[in-house]
Amino acid sequence: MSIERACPERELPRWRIVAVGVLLAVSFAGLLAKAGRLQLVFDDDLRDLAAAQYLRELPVTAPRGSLKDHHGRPLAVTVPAWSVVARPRLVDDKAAVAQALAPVLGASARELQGKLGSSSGFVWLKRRAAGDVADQVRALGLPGIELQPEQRRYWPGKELAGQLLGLVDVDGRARGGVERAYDDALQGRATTTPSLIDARGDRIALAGGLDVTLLEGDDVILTIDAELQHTAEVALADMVRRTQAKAGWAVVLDARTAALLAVANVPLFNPNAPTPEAQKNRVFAEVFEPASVMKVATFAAALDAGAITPADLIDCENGRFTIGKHVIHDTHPAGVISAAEVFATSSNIGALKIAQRLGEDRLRAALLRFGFGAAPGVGLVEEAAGRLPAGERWGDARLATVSFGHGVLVSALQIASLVQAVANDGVRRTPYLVERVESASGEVMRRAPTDEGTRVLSVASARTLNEIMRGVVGKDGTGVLAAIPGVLVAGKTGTAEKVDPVTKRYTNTLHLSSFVGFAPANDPAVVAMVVIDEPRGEHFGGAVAGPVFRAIMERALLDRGLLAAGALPAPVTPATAAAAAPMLTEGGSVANVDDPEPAPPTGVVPSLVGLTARAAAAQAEAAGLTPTLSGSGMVITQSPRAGASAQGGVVALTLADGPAPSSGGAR
Amino acid sequence: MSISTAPESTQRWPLGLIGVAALIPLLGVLNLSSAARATMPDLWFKQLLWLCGGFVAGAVVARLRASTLELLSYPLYAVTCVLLVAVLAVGTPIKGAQRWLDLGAFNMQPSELAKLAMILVCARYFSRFEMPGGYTLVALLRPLNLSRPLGILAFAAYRYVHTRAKHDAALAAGATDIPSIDPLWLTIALVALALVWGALGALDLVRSGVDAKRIVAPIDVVMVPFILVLVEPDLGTASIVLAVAATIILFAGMRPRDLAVASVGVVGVAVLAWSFVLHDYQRKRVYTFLNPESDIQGAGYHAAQSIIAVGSGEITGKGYGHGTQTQLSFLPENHTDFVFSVLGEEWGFVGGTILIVLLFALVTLMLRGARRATDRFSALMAVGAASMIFWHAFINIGMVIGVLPVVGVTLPLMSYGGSSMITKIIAIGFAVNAQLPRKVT
Repeated sequence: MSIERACPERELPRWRIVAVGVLLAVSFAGLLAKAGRLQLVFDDDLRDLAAAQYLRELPVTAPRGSLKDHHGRPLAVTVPAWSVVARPRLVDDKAAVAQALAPVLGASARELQGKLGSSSGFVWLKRRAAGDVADQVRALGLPGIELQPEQRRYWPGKELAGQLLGLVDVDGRARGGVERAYDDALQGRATTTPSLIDARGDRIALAGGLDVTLLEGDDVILTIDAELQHTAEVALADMVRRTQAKAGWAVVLDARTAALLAVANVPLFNPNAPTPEAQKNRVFAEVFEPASVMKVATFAAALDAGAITPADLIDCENGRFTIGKHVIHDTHPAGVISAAEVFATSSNIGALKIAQRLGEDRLRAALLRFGFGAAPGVGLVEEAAGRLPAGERWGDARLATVSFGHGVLVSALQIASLVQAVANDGVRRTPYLVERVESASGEVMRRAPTDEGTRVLSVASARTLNEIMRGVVGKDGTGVLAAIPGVLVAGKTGTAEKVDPVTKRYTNTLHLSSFVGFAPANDPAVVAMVVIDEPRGEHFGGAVAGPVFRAIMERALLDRGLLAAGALPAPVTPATAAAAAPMLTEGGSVANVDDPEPAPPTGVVPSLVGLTARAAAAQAEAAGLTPTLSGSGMVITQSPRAGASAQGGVVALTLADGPAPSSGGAR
Repeated sequence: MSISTAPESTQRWPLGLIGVAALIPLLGVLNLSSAARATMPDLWFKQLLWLCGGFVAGAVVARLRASTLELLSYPLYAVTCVLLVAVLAVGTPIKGAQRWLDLGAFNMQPSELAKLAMILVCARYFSRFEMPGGYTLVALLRPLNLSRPLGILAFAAYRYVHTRAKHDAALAAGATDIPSIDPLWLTIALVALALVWGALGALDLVRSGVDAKRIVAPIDVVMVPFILVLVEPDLGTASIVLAVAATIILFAGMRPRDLAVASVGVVGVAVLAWSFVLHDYQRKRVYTFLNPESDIQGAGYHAAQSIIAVGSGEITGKGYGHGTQTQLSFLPENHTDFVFSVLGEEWGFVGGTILIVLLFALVTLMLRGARRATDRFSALMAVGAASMIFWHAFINIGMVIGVLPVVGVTLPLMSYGGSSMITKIIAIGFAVNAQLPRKVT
């Protein structure tokens, strides 16, 4: 091999460099040609392929409608909630971030650090956190920790009417109460809409303009009066606590329309933190042997049939009467007294004598007419029908027990409904709970039925019974503790001996005490029925349920301007304390009942859709609201919607970024 | 060389080349800030720092004497080979490949250094190795040299030890998929081949007199780093190393007949490599390249997403920061190997054309160094540097737009990465060095 050093200055021939230059140009031109082929020839196909990846029809569910009381106060609302998410790659000091978040999220720092150590680009730290948690997370301002807006059902009154309202579980299924009965109306309409998604399939933004308000669920406005409901719950809870009773329930109706004003159940139930054992709405669902309050039905039937008049004398056998092999006793033995006195002293023997005069057929027909044995028809699935004695013929003994409320199962609502008919001059109207259903735009979708009701008693017999019932709260009546100074009250006490669950026999240690009545008796406005189940110690209906009735009724009458201005609600105490001087207590207080008044709206939400993030935030703040932003770019959705009153003073804004709505979208 | 502050000397700086070399990475920084803004928002700034560091290194290299570079070539080559062996032994495995050496403060990729070492050592070696009318294949390969039988022996021993170790480890770990041991016949065959070949070589050595040149052939200079990079495995960088060396050899000149034979030989070696050397995932990439529909979500996913990104950019692109493929994470590795897709998606055909033209200008201006060089070493060094930039750009853009299979090759001056950025600018420094005036000694 020979070494050549002929031309050291110009070692490489020029043609070689030129040739290489040409080769280079050809190579790069080839790349350009291929790029041009992709970008200029197949661009439509590839653009569609790209769009097929980032645009997807994703379901959108609009928020559920609200439940409101008669005055429009919110009882159940859908509020924005925030899920706390992390993008681990953006979190530098994972240990410090976990330490900072742990107390706020109520999770262990160790667990959080584990999640932050994930290799994925996105992890959930907490789903559907409440607003205050979100505020704290936001205040920490940790990089890589974000808040995603979601929706959550919230019952601002907490325990207020909890059993009546029912709940919506985490999967969005309505369970019980009005939430279930009106689920179809309340539910937000679901649809699908083109959305921008990333490679993980996470929704980044809605691609198109979608007016979510059109899909929002309807609001259901109830006949319930939140304040009266609260009063009823406080009074009930107080009495249940004092008497160490198992439970207590009360229902309040408008005497003329049969609108349900309060449906209270103790123990209380908070749908925000459900305790399944307390969810039963006993007013509707619990059937029991009513004992003496059933005499309202017996007397109504007898008076209406003309079997008795108030002045008819009835032999009460000095408190002891044998029928077949049964011996009937009266608590207050009496001789021959008037029918009105039989009612006032609640003589069982008197009642059965009256039932005997009326006869089995006529009593049974009347009870069916009064609505016993059938669901009252409010529209909730919980409504119980109760039961009249079975069999073609009841016989003397059964007829006798039915007349004073044994051997028959009724609900509090059924008794209250009958008393409403008595108070309303004999016209019974179907109790109702929903005043109207309104769409999100304010359009009334449904109204309460405006039926004329059914006449179940003649005017004369209804008025006669009204007079008789006033005697119960009179000086010698069993319900004197239900009396309200300055107002005529009509009512009936009930004290049932319950069947011992062990011996299966009636026992004089377990009682179900009740009071049903209305006021003012001369122009009835409000009907209420109160039941205290298994009070200990004092157990007479007048003594235990009477004071609760009085507390509820006073509040209801005060609201209607029917109570003298000087009169003040009396304290709720059992009979043993009744002798003490009345104390001025406004509503009383029970530890586990929170203030039912929701936070007042902080303002009306302005329309922020279509604005830039900066402008939207400025407008929201100007309206006294705290804006929460997610995404970047322009506002495409907001919650609450424009014109709504802001819950908690927060407005959640979703921003969209990128060309999706205009240039990048599918054509 | 006392490079002076004389005005006529500074005027000789190739300002066009330096300008293009600065413009491309600045475009790259802008592109990166969009590509990585969701995942690594401050990546562009780091890249800017690497860029500055690269320019300092490039300027230093450009001002070195050619003789200094020549002097440095073999030590650098030796250090590189040591580092390449080290990375195989103690490197940090990432995604099944050992390419990174943990140096405490930062990680280093010795294979990047290998490209620079290859430019210098080939320039040095082939500038002094000349044949009238060009090289013959025999002169380049020297088939009877002892390096090949020794290499085969080393390979057989490595296979024997390595496969057995993997087998035992899998067995001990109770894995279900236990790698098989090389069959005994293969080891025996390899050893026999080495012995026969070595005997022939030894005979030749004895016949024509003992000479160091009888041990190492010119081609071995290329093959050692090539094989070390290939087994990391890093097919992309290995291809570049080989391509750079081949380009320098071609420039130094080969006889036409030998060039034709070599081309046929390369095809033969490629077939053998396919069967024995390529890893499954590499084969899969090639299959996918030949038949892209076969596996759109698997090996073809990267390629498919990249093609969609580029194509959906159309003429003027979706706008800076508005690429759906880029910003919604459909495009993988969008800050390293697939930066061109980001550019193509967000800046369209216009942006892609501008970059390709700039790269063409860069390579052409670097080659001018070869033409202006006053000595053969400088000329070959400039050719090697230019070819490195060219092959990087060509292979990267080719794979991004679906002309070539996906191998891990970065886009020079555009992809994120410190080692990559600094070695590219040093290579440009080589080209600048070649065309700066030499003080004749």
